[in-house]
Amino acid sequence: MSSPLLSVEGISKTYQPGRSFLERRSIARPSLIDVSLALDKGDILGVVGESGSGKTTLARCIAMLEHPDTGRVMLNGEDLVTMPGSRLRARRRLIQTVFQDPYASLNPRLTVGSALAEVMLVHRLETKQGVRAKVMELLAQVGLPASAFDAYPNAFSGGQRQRICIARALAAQPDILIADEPVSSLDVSIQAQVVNLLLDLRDRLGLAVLFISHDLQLIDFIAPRIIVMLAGEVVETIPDGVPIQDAKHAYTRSLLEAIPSLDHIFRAETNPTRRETR
Amino acid sequence: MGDSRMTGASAGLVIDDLSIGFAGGRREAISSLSLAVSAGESVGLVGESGSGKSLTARAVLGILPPGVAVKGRILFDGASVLDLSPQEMRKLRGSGVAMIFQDPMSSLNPVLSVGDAIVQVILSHSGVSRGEARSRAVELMQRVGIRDAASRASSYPHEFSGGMRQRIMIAMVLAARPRLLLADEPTTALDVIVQAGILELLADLRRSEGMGLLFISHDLAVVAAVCDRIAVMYAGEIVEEGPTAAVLSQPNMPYTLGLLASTRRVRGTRRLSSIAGAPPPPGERPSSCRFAARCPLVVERCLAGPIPLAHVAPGRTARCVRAAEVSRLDPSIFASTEKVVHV
Ligand SMILES: Nc1ncnc2c1ncn2[C@@H]1O[C@H](COP(=O)(O)OP(=O)(O)O)[C@@H](O)[C@H]1O
Ligand code: SF4
Ligand SMILES: [Mg+2]
Repeated sequence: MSSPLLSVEGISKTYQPGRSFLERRSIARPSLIDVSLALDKGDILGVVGESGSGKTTLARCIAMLEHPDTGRVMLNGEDLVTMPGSRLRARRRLIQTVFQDPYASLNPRLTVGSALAEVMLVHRLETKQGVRAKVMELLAQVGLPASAFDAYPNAFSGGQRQRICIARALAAQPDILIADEPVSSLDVSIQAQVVNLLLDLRDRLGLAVLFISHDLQLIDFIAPRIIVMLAGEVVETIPDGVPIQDAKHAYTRSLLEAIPSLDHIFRAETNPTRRETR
Repeated sequence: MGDSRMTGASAGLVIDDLSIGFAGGRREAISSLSLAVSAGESVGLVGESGSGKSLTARAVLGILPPGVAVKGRILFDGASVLDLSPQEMRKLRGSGVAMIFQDPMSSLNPVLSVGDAIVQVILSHSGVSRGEARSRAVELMQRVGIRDAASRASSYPHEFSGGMRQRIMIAMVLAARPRLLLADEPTTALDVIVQAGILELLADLRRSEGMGLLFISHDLAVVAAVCDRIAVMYAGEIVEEGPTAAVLSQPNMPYTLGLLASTRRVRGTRRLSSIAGAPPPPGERPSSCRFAARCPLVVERCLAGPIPLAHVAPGRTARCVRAAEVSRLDPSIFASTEKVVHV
């Protein structure tokens, strides 16, 4: 067996306390403690946990936006943590991230077309001549109209902006897409559209996806394998084929119990016609 | 006291035929909206972004942006809110009607410890001693999920994370013991365990103090847990209203069914259901059924003209010519709109 696409081995990270008086007063608490995971082409791994549990720190360490204190981030068998800067820059392109807030993530002064073209040109994936056609292709792929090319981000709704962010990540032709709460700020109707887009892209491009969310039901739908984080640690790994409802760890169970659900309403439903159509 | 027809029986909020327009009324954001929240009652207001939920709440609180055109009436305990003087409005905002906003940064005083801020609110609304106010403040902080509340009470707003500031805001608003709380996505940004605590606190206040609640949320499950009645808004109009469990289990409007479909996460299915497209913004809304462009049930009749909000069952209204059929349909009529590409 060859090495997996991505193998994260025991990474830890403690942010150094800041300079200000208030920050110095607090003791530095590790944000990530000995986290390991593996991800292969076409895989979706779900990461759940409450805010502050270390999910974003994990994403940033894997994307090498943050340097882990210990452990290895192995991409195609090469350790990114110890890799010299020049080579790392090229490898970093292969791991792209989409963040929660599509409003903060886009430069308001750059048209969508030039933002996407810039990514392709910086990484020398396209020539100046060919780039426009490639960007148009990408816009179509994420379900945006061709007219988006010359428009500025503020012309778009939250869901459309998240499509732009996804397109920008794809412009770098990554192997791995890290989606950190990608739909949390969107309406439920739009959430479903964006989740379906991510699933399509996984199918079409064979992307490996690390899907981070605090929404246990959504994670359960989208990810066959799930890790549960609490205070920087992975407290439970839920393997493929096991529904999250069957999670064993007390913390996961307390999360499950706190989620309001519509099940009781649907169960109480008695309309026979509807049951037939099911 | 306001209009004679509304006095006596109407403890609580009555919104009557409210329209709100921008650009000199050319872009109508809310159209002829009527909604009531009695004392102790909890009404959920749901619908996609831009449907007019927050604007409705802001109108009740008298904090609409300058220059908007407002038509209709808003009565709180019989008094016409839109006719109040600025002083009367301020008084009403103090303890009568209060609002929890989505963005918590706005109202916390940076130079006051959060405990003192809550204590001030309690002292200005009740005759309790400072010591009593202090212990109530700590209790409120605990109940919104601040750990070590007694010691955290002396911290300043900037020492808290965004999520904790939101919870402190909630504690501060509730410290005023409002008779009507307008809560605009109050727990959307919070973790589920904290959310559960806050929802329980709101339920307690309704029971013990008869607080009315207008609860704005896009989370149907949360609304089902919190609200007696639900009103569904689409493109500036109420399109369906009724008892929460009845509406969610047997909707009479395809849009409600579409929202339900979007929330279903059925493990093992390949894609989530969603409502294709997006709601029309103010100024671009059709004079027919406003949902027609996205509705899988659309027929000729839907396009002839505006669809009235009709009584469809006791205590239930819906704005749909095919209302009776909708309750028999399965949410799967809102099949995934993304192409399914097979590998
Ligand atoms: N740049 C930073 N400096 C200091 N502490 C940080 C920084 N980023 C995150 N943290 C801390 O790390 C912990 C985990 O945060 P994060 O990774 O953002 O979790 P999540 O994504 O689950 O919200 C938190 O206690 C947070 O306060
Ligand atoms: S009136 Fe017609 S278009 Fe509008 S929701 Fe009902 S069926 Fe759909
Ligand atoms: Mg995060």
